[in-house]
Amino acid sequence: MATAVSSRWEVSDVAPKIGSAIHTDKETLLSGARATEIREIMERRGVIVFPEINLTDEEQIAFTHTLGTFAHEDGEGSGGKDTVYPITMDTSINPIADYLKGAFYWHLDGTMSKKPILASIMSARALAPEGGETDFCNTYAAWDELPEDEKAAVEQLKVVHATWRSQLYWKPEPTYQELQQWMSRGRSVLPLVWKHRSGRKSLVLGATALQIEDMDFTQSELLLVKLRDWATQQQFSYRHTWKLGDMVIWDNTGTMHRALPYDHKSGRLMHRTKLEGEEAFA
Amino acid sequence: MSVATEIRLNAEDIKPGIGSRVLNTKEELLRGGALAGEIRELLEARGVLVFPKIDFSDAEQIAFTKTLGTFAAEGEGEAVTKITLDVKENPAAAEYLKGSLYWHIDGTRNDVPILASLLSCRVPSPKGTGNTGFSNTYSAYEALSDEQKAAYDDLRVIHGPWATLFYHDPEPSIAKLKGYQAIGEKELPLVWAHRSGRKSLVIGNTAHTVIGKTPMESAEILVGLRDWATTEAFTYSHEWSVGDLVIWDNTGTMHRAEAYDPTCGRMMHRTKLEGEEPFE
Repeated sequence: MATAVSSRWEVSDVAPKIGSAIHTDKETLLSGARATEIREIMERRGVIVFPEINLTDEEQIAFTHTLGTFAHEDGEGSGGKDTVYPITMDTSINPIADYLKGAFYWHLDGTMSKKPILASIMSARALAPEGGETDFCNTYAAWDELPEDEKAAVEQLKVVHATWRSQLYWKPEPTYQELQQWMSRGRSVLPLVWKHRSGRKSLVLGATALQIEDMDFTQSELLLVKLRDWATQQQFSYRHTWKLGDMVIWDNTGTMHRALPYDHKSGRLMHRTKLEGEEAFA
Repeated sequence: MSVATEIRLNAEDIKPGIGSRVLNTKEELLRGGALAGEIRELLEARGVLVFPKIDFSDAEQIAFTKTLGTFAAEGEGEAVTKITLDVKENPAAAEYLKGSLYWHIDGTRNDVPILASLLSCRVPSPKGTGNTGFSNTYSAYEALSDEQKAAYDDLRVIHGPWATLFYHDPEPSIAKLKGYQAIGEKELPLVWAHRSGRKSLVIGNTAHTVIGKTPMESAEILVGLRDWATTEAFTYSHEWSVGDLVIWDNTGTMHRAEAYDPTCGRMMHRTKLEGEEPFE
């Protein structure tokens, strides 16, 4: 007789159009038994919070493996070993913390690649006393609810994305040398509206969006700001206030995210793992 | 003999590439505008003139301004404009400070930008804060290589106040952006060929697009030239003492405020000279 280990599994919405919370236990997560369901909820809801689940680094890595292909960080020198990546503004832990300053503005990860990561998984290891929340917005929902005439007007547009544009957000007067370093991180042309294999569509926006192709800069800025303003309005957004041990996973292909400001000396530390992308922008 | 009373301009360079100190007395400066011609020449030649602790009253600052050209009224009549972040004096203070912290030229929306601003210090901010920075855009142009000059001389640039918004509010609401964009924009030459024959760079935080260039090329040109023009050789940062007056040639410099505590009571009085020459 199968002696079912009683395991906790309670799923609830955290906001009407984005985000679910799952109250469960480590064993359930690590068993992989719910992996398909977690992926389904993530795609549908954008963000899943596992309140105070308190996974260790090893457990977070193992959990990540249950959901898909573990993605290694670029240039972290891990030699292909599975590691968590420390997100911190403390330069003694992360010498290139300046580069993270772009994360305080709405973005999705991987706009310089053809196939962006599927998801990020982040655990809170140390908190800032004030600030440091993470905002998420649902870019599927934002697309779905755009008026039909606006959908028609923007559906075929293409947008040039470049990392250097997002860096100007935090440093609007860089030196020429800084600008060239940022520019060396590349550019790409992406559809404004991502037609996923599932048939669903999402908006591709964020701080790396430089200019809409075949549109002058002034008009392009107006449209990009308008759509970002639309997508980040409260009805499509969820603000996660972290507790120690919280883990959040988000669908990078159907959301944008940003960190809220916090004292860079506060010691705030997040450990992140990622899932390899499975679908190219299209 | 009247020769004995002739006043001579007494000035010294601050740096080779920008700025002079004028050491004449208040009485000499105000006496019938006898030095006005020489002061204007020096202003054009040096970009920024500092009159240390000259202690003009408002009436004297206005009178002195009028010796140099046409007084540009701000608001009603001939009066000084108070520059402060005190919310009682200036309700839009915070927004004003944010925009002025970045290198800019005044009047890029106009055909004829103001010739000069005169700023006097009534209450300084704590030392090390609230300096005003100046960059000499004549010197910066003149020090470019011939190849660079040839590459830049005929370029045209779109300027718009809305572009400055992104410096301090990179994620504005659409309502705010529309408000700024409604102010309009203007195409200007990248290199201003003045009637004098001298040339200066027209750049700063209102400049957003070089016509005919990709966004990347455009940013390389505008950031590259701003970085060049604001290097040590072409810049001067004025630390204010009570009573200092500074004039800068708005047609051959950029300027910016350096950060200070809005509640510190810093108070400056400004007058302006009407522009006399269009960008082109």
